[in-house]
Amino acid sequence: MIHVGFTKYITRRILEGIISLFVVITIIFFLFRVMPGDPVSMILDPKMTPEMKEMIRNSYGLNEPIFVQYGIYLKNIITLNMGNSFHYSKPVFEIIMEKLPNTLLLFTSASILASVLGIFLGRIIAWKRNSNTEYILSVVGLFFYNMPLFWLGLILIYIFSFSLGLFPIGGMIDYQLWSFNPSIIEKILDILHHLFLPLITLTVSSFCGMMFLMRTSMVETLKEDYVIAAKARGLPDKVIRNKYAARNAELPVITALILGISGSIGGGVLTETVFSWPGIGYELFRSTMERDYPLAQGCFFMLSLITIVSVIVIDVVYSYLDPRISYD
Amino acid sequence: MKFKILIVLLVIIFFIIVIAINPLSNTKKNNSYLRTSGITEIKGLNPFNPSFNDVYSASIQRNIWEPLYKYSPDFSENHEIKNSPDKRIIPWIAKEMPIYNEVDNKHEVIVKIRQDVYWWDKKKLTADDVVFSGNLMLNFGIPVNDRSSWQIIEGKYYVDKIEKIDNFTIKYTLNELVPIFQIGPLMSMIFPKHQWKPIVDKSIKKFNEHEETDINKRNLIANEIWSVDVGKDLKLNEIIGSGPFKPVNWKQGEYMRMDSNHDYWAKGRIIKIYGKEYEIGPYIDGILRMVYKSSDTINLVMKNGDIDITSIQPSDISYFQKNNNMEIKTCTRNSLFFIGFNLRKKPMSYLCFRQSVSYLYNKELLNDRVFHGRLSPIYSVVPYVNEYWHNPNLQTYGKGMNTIERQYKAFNILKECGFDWKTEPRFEIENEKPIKLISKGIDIIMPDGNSCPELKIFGSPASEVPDSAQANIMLQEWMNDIGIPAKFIPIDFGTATDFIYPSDLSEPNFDINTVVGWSLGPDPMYLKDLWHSSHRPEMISGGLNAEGYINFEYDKLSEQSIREMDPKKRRKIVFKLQEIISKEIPIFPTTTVTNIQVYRKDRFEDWFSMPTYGIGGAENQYSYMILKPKQ
Amino acid sequence: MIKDYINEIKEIFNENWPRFRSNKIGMIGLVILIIFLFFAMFGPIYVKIMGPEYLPVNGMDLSLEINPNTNSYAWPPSLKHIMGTDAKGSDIFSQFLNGSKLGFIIGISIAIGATVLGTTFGLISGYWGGTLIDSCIMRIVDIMICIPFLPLLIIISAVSGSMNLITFIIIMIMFSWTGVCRVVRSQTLSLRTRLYIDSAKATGASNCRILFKHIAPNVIPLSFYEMTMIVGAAILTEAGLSFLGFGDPTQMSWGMMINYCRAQSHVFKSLWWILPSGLGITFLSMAFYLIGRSFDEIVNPRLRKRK
Repeated sequence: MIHVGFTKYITRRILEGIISLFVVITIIFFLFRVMPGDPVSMILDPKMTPEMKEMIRNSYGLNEPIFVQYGIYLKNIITLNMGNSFHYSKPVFEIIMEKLPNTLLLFTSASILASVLGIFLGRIIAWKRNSNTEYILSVVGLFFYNMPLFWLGLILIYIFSFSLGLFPIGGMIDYQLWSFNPSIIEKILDILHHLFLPLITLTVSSFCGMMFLMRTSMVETLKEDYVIAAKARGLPDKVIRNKYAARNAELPVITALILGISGSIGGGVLTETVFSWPGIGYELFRSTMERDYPLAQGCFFMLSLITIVSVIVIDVVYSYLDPRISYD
Repeated sequence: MKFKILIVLLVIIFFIIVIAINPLSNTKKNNSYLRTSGITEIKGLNPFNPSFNDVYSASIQRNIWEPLYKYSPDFSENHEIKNSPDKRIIPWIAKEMPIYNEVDNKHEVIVKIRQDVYWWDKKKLTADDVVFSGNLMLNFGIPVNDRSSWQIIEGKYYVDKIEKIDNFTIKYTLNELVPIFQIGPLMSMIFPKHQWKPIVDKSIKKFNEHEETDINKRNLIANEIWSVDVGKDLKLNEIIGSGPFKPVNWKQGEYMRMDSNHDYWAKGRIIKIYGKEYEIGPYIDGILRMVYKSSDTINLVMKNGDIDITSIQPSDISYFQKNNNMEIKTCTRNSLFFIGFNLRKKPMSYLCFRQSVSYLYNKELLNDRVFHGRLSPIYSVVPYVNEYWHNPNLQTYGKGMNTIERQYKAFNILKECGFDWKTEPRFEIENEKPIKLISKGIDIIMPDGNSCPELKIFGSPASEVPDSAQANIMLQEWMNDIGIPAKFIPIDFGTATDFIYPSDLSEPNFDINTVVGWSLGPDPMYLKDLWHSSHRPEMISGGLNAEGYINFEYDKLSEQSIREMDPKKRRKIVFKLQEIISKEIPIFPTTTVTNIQVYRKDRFEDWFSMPTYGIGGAENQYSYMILKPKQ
Repeated sequence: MIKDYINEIKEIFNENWPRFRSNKIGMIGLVILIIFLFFAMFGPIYVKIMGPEYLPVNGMDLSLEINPNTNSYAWPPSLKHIMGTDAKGSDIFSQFLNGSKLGFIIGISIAIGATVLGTTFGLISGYWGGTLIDSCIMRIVDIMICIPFLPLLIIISAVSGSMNLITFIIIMIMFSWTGVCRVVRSQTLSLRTRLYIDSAKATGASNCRILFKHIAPNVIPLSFYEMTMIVGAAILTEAGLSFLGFGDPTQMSWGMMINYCRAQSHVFKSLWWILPSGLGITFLSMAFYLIGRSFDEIVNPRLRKRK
């Protein structure tokens, strides 16, 4: 019974996802094309003759009618051939595939760390409702939660990189080290070294959401019969908290984790810019500034794809796990 | 409880690992690579591609391929050049200065090249290579970025042909002898025929059967050649050049490593800089160029000692001055930022209006307060750093006046030539000197009786150049104060150029423009390109006279200026041209850029900063050729 | 009808104010909010008292000397400039006050706009749940939730050169109503099956009347909670966008202050320049968040679950 509705539901969600994606890429395409200015005007130079400009324009395919360009664009997206970046003069797909792991590395690890911290603290404040611990943790958590990420990043750079000199100021690798072909271990350690500050920034500013989620969820679970029964049996608090209540309360937190990853990637442009992290968000920012249409489109497409896929995954997993949700 | 302990442990271990990595940086190889940095990535290495026109690409390319002649490192006069307009070039691949003959209305130039110049693959550089490179330009117009110096009338080369006389002698036949011949064709890069001939032939073959007009076919072939991906289609280690540094390892967006060419043909040659003799190396192991994404980062990296040279912001000077291992060198570049007026529209068509805006723009104050000395004021369209051509006796429009005095002056100029206000601005005057603006002017009325429309000041947005955005806000406020309805419109460069330099023969659509700035060469030939009446965008596609300036005297003089071979006479003409622009103000020159470089004097010695170009960069290959690691 | 709403709100207020007062978290938020409200009001007065040199955008103190440590006119706090000056010699306190004014304008206008939009669509969608209009609205919401918002904003402002404040507010409203809509819809869905609605229907009340008379008052607290969340998000987004340089340069918002500080590369030299704006953003958006949270706890202790 569930399965018929469920399959239908999944199909519908996926269809919707595709429509969303289509809408997104269409918006982006026309946004870029309708506005005046094209990459050729970006390379304006007193020495450049109109003939040369025309030649460059031709070589980028910018002289076709706009709907032809749109058709080509859609066809290319389907085949994942997103054209060549004006800036790097190489395929956009290649560049995105190069940057995607960097972004995923940063945000996945940050989300996991934030969840672990959130679950840990959430358990505490759920258990000690209306205590001073709860107030302090809530206010501190919200303080960081409402702090602009990029500003926190700057302050952390100021403290740890500038004043104490413990961590690098930005980037993901030490170029000097890498241009001389270091060993794998050196490479890994080097990346970890660079990862630390952005990771801490992201974790500190997002654990609060997880914490409250855990708290709400745990408060609910504590009211469930089996927990009350366990209490009645006279089991110690710690056992009830850790074995009975927490286990079941973690479920929504873990699903929220996936959503958190996708959400933070979208907002990650700021983090990546502050820390010069060579990910998709930063690439999007840079290519937009330089009117590198194909690359900006590609990056935006990839970000939308990540968001859409994770929203669908969450919805589906949720509806599978929680039979109370109807497939409307 | 175990769970908790585990987490705490994990976090602690992570901390330890991460911090423990720091010592690893000591394992970086101990070498004498010069570590440089940039915010922007090198666009590409293919020397023919017009989109790789950034200075970073050029600086790499010019370390690979070299020209026949170069500017002398200190721009000192070179008396061997008899009839040069600008006696500042020295033979590089060429053996001696060119010899000029006039034969049947045509000019012949004989260039002898050195016999000891070798490509990286040990082949000799011969006249064949020079002829081949020149013909790439004559036949296909590549490298595109050099093209304008081969033409003085659009689309026509003044070089008729280039021939080989013997293995080391080349003859250029010119239709017309013009001053830029020496800094154009004779300064173009020479490419190895044995590497590029096959590529060119392949491209020709590909398009030969196409039914296209001759011009289109040439363009397609050119396009094919510049589309060769140097670094991928043509591998880095396969590039053949003759220069001092070879590209070895390039990760786009991150770093590029160039190793020194230890068999550099010019090694051991002596060059004189400011009278001191230097032996050419290269002595360093190579150059490492790393891309950091913000100037803040670069600053900190420099402070941590991870790079050897960088450009810094004025606010960092004091920090680096304290450091004994570092030295700061400033260099004022030859560039032109300006306020451009659209002369087709009122009120910009009124000379007195342009004068009053010029008075209002307090560039001295802005340079001090907003740019912190980074953009020095200029008063001529040939900046003062270009000493030989710069006309120092021009109107300064209020140098030394404060903001209120300027506003008062601007107000009076407008009033005298017939502007009126609904409410005039009121100034508090003490001893005939304005000291305070009491109330703002409201609704200025133009001499023709119409009220003044809102004027849009196009300027760079804060995302690109934040301090310039601030300067524009100040200009807007200054204009508003005396009743001129101005509004700063932040507009990005690409969009702005579409309005200002339309390529479809339509009229430029702007009021006041501060977006565009020119980076200038030492030769003032740009005076014709920028304000000759035939260069208006509505007359010629891609024309640069966006202001729509028309002055036939200027046209005539500017045409003379690009043909006059006698430097003294030419200088007089160029002075006159500057005077005209200064009087009629189609544009109001505002600033040029001052570049502040800081370098490590404890790691390297013999740092050389070239006038107007600074240390290193696209135009100055000398620095790194003579730079020595310090023992 | 508007009177009804006012009464309704009054009732909610009277009923909950004592409980709110005893909620520590909410009170902290309220106090912070009042302080910032004072700052926002005080801004123009401050400039009037101190003169045009204290204008936030283009004023500068011409009597300053160059600070040898920063090689600019950025001076640390002093009696004359209690938060110091920025690189061109402008008063940071005045900028900070102006920033709180802009923070309120941005946050509240976006929040109100988005809430009104979201509530309306949510009510419509929920009341006619299962019909074509409902699925249309919900599909639009689904699509909009999938769009990575900040990147889109960046692209929009980059192609339009820069964004002035009003455009920014409108775009933000267009993208922030979806959350409210979803919540209101699910609430309406459950409300419309209640008994008293059925009885109202039976007495022949029009749909419109039922919607606005019987259902809407019940979702107002929920909308209010969502609104406080949007305020914080809006302020943070504006700051982020300004930080990247896509803000309105003629308005000295907190984000713009950070952007200028970074652009003049003073971040590591003049902490007094970068601290006030960042803390301002943090505290103001936190204040709204705290109020919303405690309000939510009081009104619907069990209603709000995970979203």
